[in-house]
Amino acid sequence: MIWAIKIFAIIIGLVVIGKSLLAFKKKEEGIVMFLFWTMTWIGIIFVAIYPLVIDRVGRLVGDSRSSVITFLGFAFVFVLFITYRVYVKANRIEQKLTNLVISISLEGQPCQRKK
Amino acid sequence: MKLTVIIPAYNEEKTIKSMLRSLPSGIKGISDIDIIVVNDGSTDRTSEIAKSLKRVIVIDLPMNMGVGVATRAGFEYAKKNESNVIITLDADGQHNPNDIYKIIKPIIHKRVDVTIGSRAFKKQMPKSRILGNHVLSIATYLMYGRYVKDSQSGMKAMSGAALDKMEFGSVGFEICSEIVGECKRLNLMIEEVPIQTIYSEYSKKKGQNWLNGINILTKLLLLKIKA
Repeated sequence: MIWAIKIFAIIIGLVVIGKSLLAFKKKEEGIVMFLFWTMTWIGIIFVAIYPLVIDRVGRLVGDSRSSVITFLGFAFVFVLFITYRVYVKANRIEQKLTNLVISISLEGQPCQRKK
Repeated sequence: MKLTVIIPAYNEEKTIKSMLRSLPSGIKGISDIDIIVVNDGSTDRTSEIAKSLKRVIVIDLPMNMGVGVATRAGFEYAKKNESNVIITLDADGQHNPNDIYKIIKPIIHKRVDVTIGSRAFKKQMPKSRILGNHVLSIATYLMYGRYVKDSQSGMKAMSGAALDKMEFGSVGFEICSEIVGECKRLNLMIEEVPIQTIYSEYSKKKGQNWLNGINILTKLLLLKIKA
């Protein structure tokens, strides 16, 4: 099971890095965003392969109590927050775009009617 | 009494001409008919062909936005032009033009506010699509509390007064269910009118697949959360 999670994280990580690289090459994404996603996913893959690294970091900052669980908890809340933000923004943009498209397309109507 | 016929169209160059030509030029009880093709960013000659026909008004959306947005653009046009009766039709030629009077009659006579053309799910329709339509009708009922047999029918009519009160947030096919939801919210009377469906290979190909069904379900859920 642990191996399945590791392989899954590696595959997802490589896909995201690959997509980000493609977007960067097509100039759809800037260097900062490309580096951010690449570093983030390299970090996720690393943690997936060596989860004990979280415990070591926990000990370094003085908290050795179930650091992996705490990390996963924070990660889950973070993902939920990001999902919510993306949803709200996408929804707002979609509504604005819809209203804009409708008003542009109706400008000057009716003008194409042939009697 | 003014009637607006709204036909959202995306890449329908094969059928749009014959479909528009089949529309009646006069309808009992109607003095003025506006035929509106809302070209949803087609990449083929749909808009060009529609513009070449008399009696047709073409609204060109600058990009492909989805049937929900195309329908809403048509609705806005109808509101602006103070239409008394509004009907939506599919551009793929699956609706029988003779059913138009049948579906607007209860509205002309002010018996109901909204009518829905209810398709008989016959053998020609793939079983997966029949099942998908039933699932979406049940989902519409669960989300909005109003059951209609064919919630996803593209042939619907409503009075101008009813349309004025409705508010939409849909961009895609979920607009069919949202109309039912708005009827429930505004306490509007709906009547389901049996209609004939012309199944051609083209219209079967153009219809929704199960993946679109899941997409509609997800969007319906999001719409409900937003409301």
